[in-house]
Amino acid sequence: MRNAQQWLLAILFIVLGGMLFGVAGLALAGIITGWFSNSRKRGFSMAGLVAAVFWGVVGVAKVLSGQSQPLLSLTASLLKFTGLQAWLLILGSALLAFLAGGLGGWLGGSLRQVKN
Amino acid sequence: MNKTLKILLPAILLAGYLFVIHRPLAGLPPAAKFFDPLRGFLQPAAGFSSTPSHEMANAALKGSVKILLDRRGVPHVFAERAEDLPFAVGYLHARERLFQMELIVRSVKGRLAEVVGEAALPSDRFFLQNGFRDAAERAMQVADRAHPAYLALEKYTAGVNSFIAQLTPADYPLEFKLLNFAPSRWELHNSSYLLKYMARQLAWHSSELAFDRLRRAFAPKVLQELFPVEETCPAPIYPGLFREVPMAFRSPAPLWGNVIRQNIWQQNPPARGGDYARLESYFDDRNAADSPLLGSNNWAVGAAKSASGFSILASDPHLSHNLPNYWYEVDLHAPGVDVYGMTLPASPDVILGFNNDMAWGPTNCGWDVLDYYKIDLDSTGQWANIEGQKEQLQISAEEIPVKGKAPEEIKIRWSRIGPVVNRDNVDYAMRWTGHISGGEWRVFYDVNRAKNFSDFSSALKNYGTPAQNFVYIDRQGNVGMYSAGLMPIKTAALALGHSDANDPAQAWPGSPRADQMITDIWPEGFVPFEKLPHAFNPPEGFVESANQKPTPDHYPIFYNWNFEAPYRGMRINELLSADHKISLDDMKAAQLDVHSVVARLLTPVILEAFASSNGASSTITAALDSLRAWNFNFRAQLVAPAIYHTFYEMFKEGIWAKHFQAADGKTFMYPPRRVLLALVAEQPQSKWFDDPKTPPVENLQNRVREIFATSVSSLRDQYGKDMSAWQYGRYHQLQAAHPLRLPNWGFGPAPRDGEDFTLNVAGGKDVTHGPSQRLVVEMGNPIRAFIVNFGGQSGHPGSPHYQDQLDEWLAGKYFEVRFAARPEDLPKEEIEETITLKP
Repeated sequence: MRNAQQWLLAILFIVLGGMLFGVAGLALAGIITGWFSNSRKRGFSMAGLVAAVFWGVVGVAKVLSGQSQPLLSLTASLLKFTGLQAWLLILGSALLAFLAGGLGGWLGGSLRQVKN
Repeated sequence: MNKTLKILLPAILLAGYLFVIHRPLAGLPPAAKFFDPLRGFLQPAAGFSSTPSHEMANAALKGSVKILLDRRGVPHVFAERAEDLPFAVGYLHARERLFQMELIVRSVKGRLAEVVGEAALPSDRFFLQNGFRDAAERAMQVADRAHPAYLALEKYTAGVNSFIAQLTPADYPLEFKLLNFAPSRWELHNSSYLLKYMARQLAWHSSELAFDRLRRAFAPKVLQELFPVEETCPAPIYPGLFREVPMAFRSPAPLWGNVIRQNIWQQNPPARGGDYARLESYFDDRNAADSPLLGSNNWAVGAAKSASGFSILASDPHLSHNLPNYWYEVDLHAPGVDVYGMTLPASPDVILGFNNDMAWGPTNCGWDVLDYYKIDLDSTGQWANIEGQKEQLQISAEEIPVKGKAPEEIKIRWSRIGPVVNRDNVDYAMRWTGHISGGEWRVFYDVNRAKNFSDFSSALKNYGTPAQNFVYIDRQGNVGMYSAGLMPIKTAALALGHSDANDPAQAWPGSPRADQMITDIWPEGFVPFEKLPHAFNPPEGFVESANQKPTPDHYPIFYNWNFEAPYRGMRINELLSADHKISLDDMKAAQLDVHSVVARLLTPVILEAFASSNGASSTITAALDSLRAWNFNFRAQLVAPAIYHTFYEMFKEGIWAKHFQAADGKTFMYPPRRVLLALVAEQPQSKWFDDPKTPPVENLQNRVREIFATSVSSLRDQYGKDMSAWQYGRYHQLQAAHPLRLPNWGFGPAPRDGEDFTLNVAGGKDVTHGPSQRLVVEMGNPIRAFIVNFGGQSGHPGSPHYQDQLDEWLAGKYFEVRFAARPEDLPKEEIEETITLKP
């Protein structure tokens, strides 16, 4: 139950943080998530994973909804990505989020551990 | 791990990571912003609307405005009050073309490098030092602020800014995100920048320095033969001009005497010499005579010549092919105003189109309105010696901001003649009508509201640069043409020769400073508007223009030596002079016509050259057979146009390269194409067909045989032995680029019909310019109009309307125009989106 609560809180904070403040918001939400997780490793993985999934899902949803599909293709063409390679951009976006959330989670977990 | 390190390590890593991903790196936008799926590259610009109906309020509006966007993204705008129409147009332009507008403004202001980087520095220097920005701003400083067109510009500005104000960075078009900058607030004089930008496209042309090199290397007799200053145009725009213009016009004052039919080659070269550098680099000398001036077609038939009994107009301006295109189509309605047609983003009025009473469309005049003068600057660069008198230049030092680099300092110098520029240690002052004209901002406001030819021509009085041939029709079945703009009165020497300000022989009377909106920079001033070439209901029953020489022989003013070759004009004459009356479909077919009168002249010459030959290779024989069966239509899927076109390009080069190669390896300007074709038709034994580097004396026939064989070999080498693979469209292909030249953001290559001389123009191998839109209008009751834009309405790559008209444009199809007086008149199923603007 405690685990589930932590995950729910992580999702809540990271979604809010990302929606309101972008990558910086993910990092901030990661710190909070890490703090509640009470572990730097758990904070890193939990916050990183949630942030990555959040951005990945948003990216995929936007592309599949139609309007962003040509934007993905145009941007991919700048990197000479073709076909399915274009999705690497979404993956890259998720990776960016993973590191922001994860590093935030690590810091938050460390802060809590030091406090304790 | 100690406690401090436990916190410091992730803190430093996180801070460092956030710092790095929020910084632009190597010209790329910050990763944190760009890859944010909610705000970055995946977030469509605000112009990509997904809501079928929305509203916006703005205090600048006096009444409500309803905008219905149809399936092509064309806005049908219905305003309660006419003064709100420009607001709506500004709003729509910003919504669809914000980046395009920003680029145009930054180009003229010399602020491209600020967002693009040092690659744009040459462009910024060019626009600033050649006076474009200053001229645009002066035009608005002296504008009549009480004129309703000025008020319209204010409303337009408010409309653009109302759209920009509602944007968050997430809503910016993708290009802004890529370049990592925000749209600038719109200023009223930005519309004036656009006008100067277009003037640069259409009226910034000079052959003087190329002429100067020729004059030093060739005898006057040679130049007289190959670069004829005065010649008869077989199809001038105004064949009957002297039936209409009083004789008094021909020589109103002794001062005009020296411009009548002068031959510049008999004049002395400028007293002060120097190896004049070319001031422009966009074409080299060899093509200067046929430089890629952007041309156009327009024509119209009056009621008597029309199958329906109503006058009909066709207009297809030729511009460089860009995505987005220049034009944005609108349908505007308000009390007292009903107008349909093409606008240019950055300007509120319809530039070509129709209203309830009349229709109009422009082609480029091609007058020579840019002259260079050599002047002497002192060592400080602050004083110029002009006409033996020292004159202090107006100098401003400016910094051009450069993205990622220190700003560059430049100096902008103005003399009383115009901007001062320096190339290869030679100083020039230039005179260009674009620097002194300034009334264009009000012209189309008045044109949009004109009801007859008198209103129409009155509106054109304020038109300066780029000079245009405006075709006209109305509901009464009338037809007309007016060539409007500033036409300097000058000698051929001034027009063609590079003039030396310190040479008494070429001195000019003192003129006021260029910054005072003067009209007498050219010593003799300008041709009065009423005396400019024009026609109304000519006896032919139709009017046409295709950038050819406007006037017949005996016109008293020298205004250029080298107009567009007359062949497109001849073809229009041919089609409109047909016995039958002309219908709307005939007009469309003529716009799409790919029949070349030049190929019709030259192909028999090729066949004749081989008529008595034996032993021609089977490939050559097959190529000749292909030409023999050809109807001179340039279709992409045909082989004959490829054979002819490859020959023609090699023929042109093959004949002139031998004679116009300078000792230093540079190539002189070649004679115009019309001269070569005249030699082919009339002087097959001309010495110019001889190759001076070979002992035998060749004539036309010899050279045609030799060059044709070479061109056929070239095609065989390139496309193989199977001649069916030599289709014209294999290499003659349309290319349209996005302004940032990003790969895959443009269009093409795609096989393209047409050539230089066909009405459906498509010059070169890589076809990068041509009809920017096609419009055909019949002023009946109701008005019937058909239109197709190159590209689409939207400037946002990826938008459904970015290039949704290209397939139809390529296929020669049109869309029937919905010119609806009321919103209820529009079929509901055709409306995709509704915007309501409220006070």
